[in-house]
Order: sequence, then structure tokens, then C-alpha cells
Amino acid sequence: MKTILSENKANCLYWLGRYAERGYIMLHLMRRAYDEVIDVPVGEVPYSDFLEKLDVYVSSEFTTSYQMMMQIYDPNTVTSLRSVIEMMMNNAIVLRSEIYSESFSYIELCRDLIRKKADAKEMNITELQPITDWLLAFWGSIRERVRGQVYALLEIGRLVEHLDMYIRFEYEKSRLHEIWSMIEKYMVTEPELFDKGKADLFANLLESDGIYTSKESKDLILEILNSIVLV
Amino acid sequence: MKELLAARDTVNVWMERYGVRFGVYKNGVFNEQIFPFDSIPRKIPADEWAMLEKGLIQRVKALNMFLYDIYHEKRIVNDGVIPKEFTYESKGYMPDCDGITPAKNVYAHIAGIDLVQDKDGRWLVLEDNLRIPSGASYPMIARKVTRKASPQTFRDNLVADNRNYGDMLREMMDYINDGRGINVIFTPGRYNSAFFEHSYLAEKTGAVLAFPGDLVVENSNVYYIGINRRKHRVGAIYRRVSDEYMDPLAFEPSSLLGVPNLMESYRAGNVGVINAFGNGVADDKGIYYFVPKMVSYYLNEEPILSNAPTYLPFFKEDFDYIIKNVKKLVIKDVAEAGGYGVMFGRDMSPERLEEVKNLIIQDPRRWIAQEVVDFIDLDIIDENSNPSPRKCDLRAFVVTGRETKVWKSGLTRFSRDPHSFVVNSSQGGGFKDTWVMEK
Repeated sequence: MKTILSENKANCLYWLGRYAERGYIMLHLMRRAYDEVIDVPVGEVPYSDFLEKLDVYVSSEFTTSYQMMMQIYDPNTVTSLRSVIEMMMNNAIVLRSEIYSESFSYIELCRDLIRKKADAKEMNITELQPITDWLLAFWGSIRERVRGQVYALLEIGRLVEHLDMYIRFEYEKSRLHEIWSMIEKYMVTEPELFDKGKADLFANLLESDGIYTSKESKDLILEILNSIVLV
Repeated sequence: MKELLAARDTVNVWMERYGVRFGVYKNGVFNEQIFPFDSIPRKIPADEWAMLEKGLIQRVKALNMFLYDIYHEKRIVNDGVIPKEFTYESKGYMPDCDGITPAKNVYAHIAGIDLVQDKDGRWLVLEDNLRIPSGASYPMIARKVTRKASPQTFRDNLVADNRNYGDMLREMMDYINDGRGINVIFTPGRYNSAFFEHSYLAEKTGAVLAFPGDLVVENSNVYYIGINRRKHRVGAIYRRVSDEYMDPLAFEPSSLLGVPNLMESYRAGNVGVINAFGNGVADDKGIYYFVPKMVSYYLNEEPILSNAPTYLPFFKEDFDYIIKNVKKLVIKDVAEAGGYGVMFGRDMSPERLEEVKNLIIQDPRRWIAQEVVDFIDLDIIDENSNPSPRKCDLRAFVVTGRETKVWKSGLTRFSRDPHSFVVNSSQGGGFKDTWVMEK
């Protein structure tokens, strides 16, 4: 039977896909940032590049190490890993019947762990590895159990977020094209979920050479990317 | 069984990962709590269950007949079996339902009958919950988890499988729906105390979980609004919202949860509402007293299940008894539920006892009194990992669609306080699985 979705549930599915992917990529990039800091020359500010790419204001009032901890655990920092996981849960909680309890359980595990680690002020990032594992298991469970438009919305969210993070962190264009071509397939099967005009505009910008030349150009392409999906 | 008890921590970890919680508002703040689960199940032998099953079916049939009667001919009142003060003056009686016959003439599609077992092994009914009884999802998921954590336990014990509750509900919903449209479970939202149950039952029945704002009525039909405002006809609504909030145009006008004009669609017979509107009249604590009389009146049978000994201060003889013996009785406010409004005379100061007596004198219809049933204790594993006895009740679930069936399980609730008789989850109680033995 075809699953019937309200607009609110469609929105939650899309954003669940986005937050789940953001959490996964953020952890990956955090691990990379922690590794890079080992080699940062004396005098340079560690983590500042990572934080700025996520649009986090780097304050001189606090050390960047402290700000990095806030970026992981602070529930009041909207871009923090913890906030991302809490938002994953906020969307997932109304979707149990669409994604099934097994998929839902991985989100629950992520949320419980980040809260426990935040309470313990855990600074060793390897302690957060289970979140990466559970997010991969979450997507595995989704692929195993979910079909149709429910799957499409989750996957579109995942791909859009993937592209968003890759643009923020200035990945090579070939990587962006690869993901964009996957989104384009959904424009054929689920056309009512997309703003065709915005999608064309995005595709044109992607072809241009200047997307990473200035903050403005990056912000522009991100803004267009974030208005392509109509949920 | 030892293996199951040893797997206690594993079971709790699994319950947590499935998000088995219930919400509680304390000082206006919403908090989600784990519903404490005790691994030692309540075991009901097959022969005992067979008797219980018969008694429950009989009782729910009579209650369904009463609901039809009270909203149609009212024979039971006219024949003097139940005084009119206990029907038309009941808070749960809805004059708007007069003359309406719900789909397939079923009122109490899902009945949650609360029972206790006394020290002689007799099962006594404490309450009939015919509006929106909750709790079935907990033993359902507990069984799924305990089977996973301790398979040997279930190889060694022939326990009736209880994971079919979703199928029972779906079958009933399809029957009530009668092909008119989709089935929905209507929840007030994620901050409702039983939201876990709403979402889990939607998953297990394949019904769409609908939230406030998702349903509209047009031309006396109910529709679920999908993506791009596409409308999907709804044939049956398993609502988890109280009567008064279901339609702001018919009932409580300030309700933001409800579906305007739902009552019109219901009256026209265009949608099945599970449970039916107006059922509150039959699960009023005052009307409970009369249920055994309903069994005799409608079915011409002897009631198989008894009530706990109950007195109605409305009747002179009972009134005198209550006033004289209030200290040894439990007094219940008929308007309250969830363990609220329950007062044990033995726990009250002399001043409080006088106050309660005065309350009864002022408004006898508002109160019932019951003998304190010394019901059996079941062991739980306490916080120090020792077996420790606690008071337990059983909520049995009776589902009526084409036929009336009893789910071969139930929610066994226990009091966490060793000195308390109150087992409600809203009062801090926990739960056990209920095993109906095949042999």
C-alpha cells in the first residue's frame, strides 16, 4: 500500500534525512579537524577554519578548543552536533510508523549517547564513534525497510545536506556533480517535490568556476540549494 | 525463567533504544520517563484464562448493549434497573449522541477492563475503561524484547503469543471502516503522555498517524490532507483524544485539537469513530456498580465476573454503611481517573475523614465506596535486585469488531511503593508482561 503523508510529515522526513547526514558528516569533519590540529603551527588558532565553515562566529573571548566543545555538546548552539541530533529526534519521533521502530532506535541511541557524553564533558572524540556507526546503521535500516515517497524524501534530504556540507567545506566540483546527479534522478520520479526554476539555477551555478571565490558566492549557491526542495 | 531475570539489564537497554516511554507533566513542564519494566511476568494458567476470557466477553457485550440502549430506547432506565441519576446526569453522557448508531453498532471497540485477583484466587473487576484505554503497546514491545533477550525462556514456557494485537486492531478497524477509506490513529501530538503508544500502534496496524490539523470534513466526509493538499477519504478513526476535544463545533469550542464538523460526519454514518462518542457514560465509576445487573438484564445470564464489593451513597442503605465504616473503605471520586481521587479511609486523619463524610453527604452521586480488596502480591525485582512483593492489577484488552475477542495478554501494573495499592503509571507505577499459558 502506498504510504500517505501529510505535508508536515513530508517536511519531517526531509529534515530527518538532512539532520542525519549533517550529524554524520559533521563528526567525520570533526575527526579530521582534530587530526589537523596536531600539526597546527604555534600562533595559529586551532579549529577556526572548521568553525567558520559552519558559520559559527569565532569569538576571541573563549579559546577555540572551548568553542569546539560547545560545537559538539552545547544544546543552545543551533549548529552543534548535539542540536543536530536533538533535531534528528524531533523529526523522527513523529515518524515511527513511516520509518519503523528499528530505524527509529538508532536515532534514539545517538540521542542518548550525546546526552550522556555531554553530561560527562567527554572530550575524546573517539567516544562518539558509535554515533557514526548508528547513523550508518540507520541508513541501512531505511534502505532495508522503507520504500516509495517516504524513502525518496529521506534520501533527498540526505543528498541535499551532503551537497550543502561539501560546498561549505569546499570539496572538489566532481564530488558535487556526483551528488547532484543523484538528486536529479529524484526530480524525474518526484517532480512535485522540487522547484524546477531553482534547480536549473543551481545546476548553472554548479557549472560556473566561481563558487568558492568569495563568501558571497558560496552563500548564494547554498541559499539556492536550500530552496530547491518544496517541503 | 532464571535466564530471563539475568537478562534484565539487556531488556531495559532494548526498551530504552525503542523509546518505550511515557510523558508526564510536572509543574507545567513535560518530561519523558521510562515506564519501569519488571522482568518477572504475571502468569495466568490456561484454565483460569478461559474463565476470564468468557467473563470479559460477556461483560463487554453487555456494556455495548447498554450503550446502544441508553442512546436509543433507554429500556434499562425505564425498567428501573438503573436510576436515571446515573445515566443522564453522568459527565460521560452525551445528549448529542442520542439516536446515533455508530458503524456496525459497536461502541466499545477497545475496552480496557481493570481487574485484581484476591487472595482466594477470584478475579474482581475494578473498572471498565471504554473511552481511550491505553497500555497495550507496553506488554507488546516488552514481549518482543524479552523474546530477543531470553529465547530459552520462551522455549521452556508455552506462552500465548501476544504480538498479534496490531493485527487484532487492524482487523477491527477494517471491519468498522467497511472500505470507505483509510484507517487513521488520531493523536493529540507528541507531547501526549501516551504518544509512544499512538505511534507504535500506528506502526503495527499500518494506519496513518494523524495529528491535529491533518483531518478535515467536507460534504460530511472526513479527509486526511496529504502532500499538495491532496485529500484522502478516511473510513475509520481510532482517536486517542477525549470526546469533548474531538469537534469544537459540537463540543468544547476552545479545542484546537479537534476536527470541525466531525460529529456531522459521524452522525451521517460516513466515518467510524473508535471508540464511539459518548462511551463515558458506561465507564463512569457510578455506573460500574450496575454492570453485573446489565449482564443479567441484556443477556439473561449470570455474570461470570464480579465487581469488587461496592457501595453507592446514593442508596440510603449504602449511604448509612459508608458513613459508619468510612475508615475501612476506599472512597473514589467518580469524575476522576488515572488513580486520582482515590482515598483510603485508613490513611486519613480524623479531620480528613469528617471532611470526606461531608463531601459524601453534600453530593452522594459523586462518590462510590469500595471494600479494600486485599489483592495478591506479585514479586518484582526491586532496586537492590531482590525479589519483593508488590500490589498488581491487570488491564485486559477486549476488542470488538465482527466478534468480541480478548487479547491473550494484558498490562500488569504494579505499585513501586511497597505500601501502596495505587498502580497507575501516572502515579509512578511500573509494568510487567502478562503471560497467558497455553497449557
